[in-house]
Amino acid sequence: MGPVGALGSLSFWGVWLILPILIDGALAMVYLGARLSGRAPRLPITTPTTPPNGVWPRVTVLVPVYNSAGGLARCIESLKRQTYPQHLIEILAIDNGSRDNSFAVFCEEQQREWTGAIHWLSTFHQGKTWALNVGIHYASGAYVFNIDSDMVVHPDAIANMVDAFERDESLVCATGAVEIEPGLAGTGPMRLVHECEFQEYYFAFNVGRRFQAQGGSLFTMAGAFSAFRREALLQTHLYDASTVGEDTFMTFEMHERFPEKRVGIVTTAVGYTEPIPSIRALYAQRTRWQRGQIEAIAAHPNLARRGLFYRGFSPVRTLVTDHTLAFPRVAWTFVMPALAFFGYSWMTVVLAMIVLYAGYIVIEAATWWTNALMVVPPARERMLRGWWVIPLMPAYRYFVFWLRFAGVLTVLTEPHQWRTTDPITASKAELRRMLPRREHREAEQAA
Amino acid sequence: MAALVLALCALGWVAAVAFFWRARAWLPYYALGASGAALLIVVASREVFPFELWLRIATVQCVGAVAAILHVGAIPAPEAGTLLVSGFGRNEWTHFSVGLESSGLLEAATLGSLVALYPRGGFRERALMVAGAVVASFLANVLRVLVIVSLVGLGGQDLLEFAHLFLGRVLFFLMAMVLFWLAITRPMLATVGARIQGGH
Repeated sequence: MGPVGALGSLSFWGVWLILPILIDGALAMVYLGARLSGRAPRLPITTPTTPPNGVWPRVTVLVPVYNSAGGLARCIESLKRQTYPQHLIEILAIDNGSRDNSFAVFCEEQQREWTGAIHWLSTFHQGKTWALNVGIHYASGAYVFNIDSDMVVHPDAIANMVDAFERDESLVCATGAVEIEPGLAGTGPMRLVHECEFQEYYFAFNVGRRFQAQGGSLFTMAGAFSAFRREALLQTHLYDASTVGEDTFMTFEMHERFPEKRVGIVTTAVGYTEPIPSIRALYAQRTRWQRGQIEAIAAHPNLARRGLFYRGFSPVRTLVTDHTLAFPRVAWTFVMPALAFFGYSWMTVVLAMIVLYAGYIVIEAATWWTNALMVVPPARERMLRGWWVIPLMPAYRYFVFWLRFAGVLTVLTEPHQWRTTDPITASKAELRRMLPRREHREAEQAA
Repeated sequence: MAALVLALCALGWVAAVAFFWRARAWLPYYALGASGAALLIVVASREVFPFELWLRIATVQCVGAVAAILHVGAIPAPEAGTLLVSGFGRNEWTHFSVGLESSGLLEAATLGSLVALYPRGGFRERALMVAGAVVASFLANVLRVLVIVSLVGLGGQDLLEFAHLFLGRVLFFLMAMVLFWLAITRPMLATVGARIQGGH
């Protein structure tokens, strides 16, 4: 059987994998087409010089703190460097059970000269949601920002975000663009992960979420950096501690409570996060994201009932892509190679896999191209230099798919908590439980 | 010999899946569990038990019965697992052989395994869900084959490739997605929703 015949005969099996590729691919091509046709212009980061409505309003920045000694100083310093009038910025660092010297770090920052207000609050409850809710209670600004303590924000981030709110009455809340800090990358194998992560983040916010927001269907405002009109925030049930996806939950709340308003993104308000430190941390992060997504949908039955073809925000679309379609993908990942034992030649199977991977490379090339056409400094240089990750991106996304799939399972099997145990650690622990301990053996020998 | 090898593989599979279950290592548990179960079922159905043949015959008989009601010229042929389709208004006969692809065995085994190993619900609920999913998968496959033979009957053999390679597969994919939604995603959402409402 020749290559063409082989592929033809495998199209039956391939349809399970090819159709999802077509769904991904169609989206990537739509984004690229929109950029090429000029419907999605590049938006450079500039400093707003005059307030749209005559005066700049006061803003409150909530920084939840939990064992944040490592990054808190950088975060606060970046807030102090804002081009927004400093005396109109109120920073609330809200501790929720830190055991490190976060407070000492905060005190040092507080003593440094700055014309804005900076306060430390503590809550008995451990958890980011509690910290944020306490912060909202104390916030006095017209706009409330949430910024993770391991983030560094661009000097124009607050000014650009407020500018967007002041110009658009219908904008009820917005996420900033979260990017991997352009100057940071690991070494060794983690370097590859970090380069892929850089591309992934940039696309997710500056392209994916931007288009979602245009269609009124922004799924998640970044928990790491987002902003709200304070009066709108106070009309919600605030952050909910029953899910691990408090950011997605709040996004849903906003969609549900303000259907006539806009949940948007301000791509010129940029926050930088550090690349993921390890594969274990990546596992924990993606599992939590996936779990949070499912929990947020389940907690909003009215939104979940909207159909696949609902105009506007319909979380079911995301659920079908991330949950329903994931199951056949899981099964066919293993069944497909096994076809070689069911009468198909190895050549057919291997060729089909190569074609599938090539299909994803084409999608990633379109994605990178869109990124490259959108990107503005300071991310521009690293983005353009990073073209070589295109062939690696399908492998990275496939790897991440499995990490997210773990979240699909743990949402049913594990109690509600932020921390997760990865399968390798869990398996090692089980092995240790099964195998007799050395000290026991030694005790037996001694006896 | 095949049965012995299969039994050994099944034993190893059970041990590994049980280990990951006990370890609460859910990703390897489910990936290995569901895909391993699907493969074991398919291999057993082909090499040890005649399930695949039964499935092919059942598919042909069902398609033939529905075709008779709908006046589609498709009748089971004497050879097991094959259909004869006559063209509307043409003196043309097409001989269909329902093989591994069109038997729906792989899809039924895959869906059944994914539902059975999904860590939700008790034994009884899962058993009912698996039975429902397998029956629904079989019916979806019958519908697929029916659409293919109807199209070939109406439009002639020129449409065979389009009907078989494209339309039938896409149609089955969409039906399977509905089944995955009904059997896995929707019940999961209900469970998680109830847990959140209950404050757990």
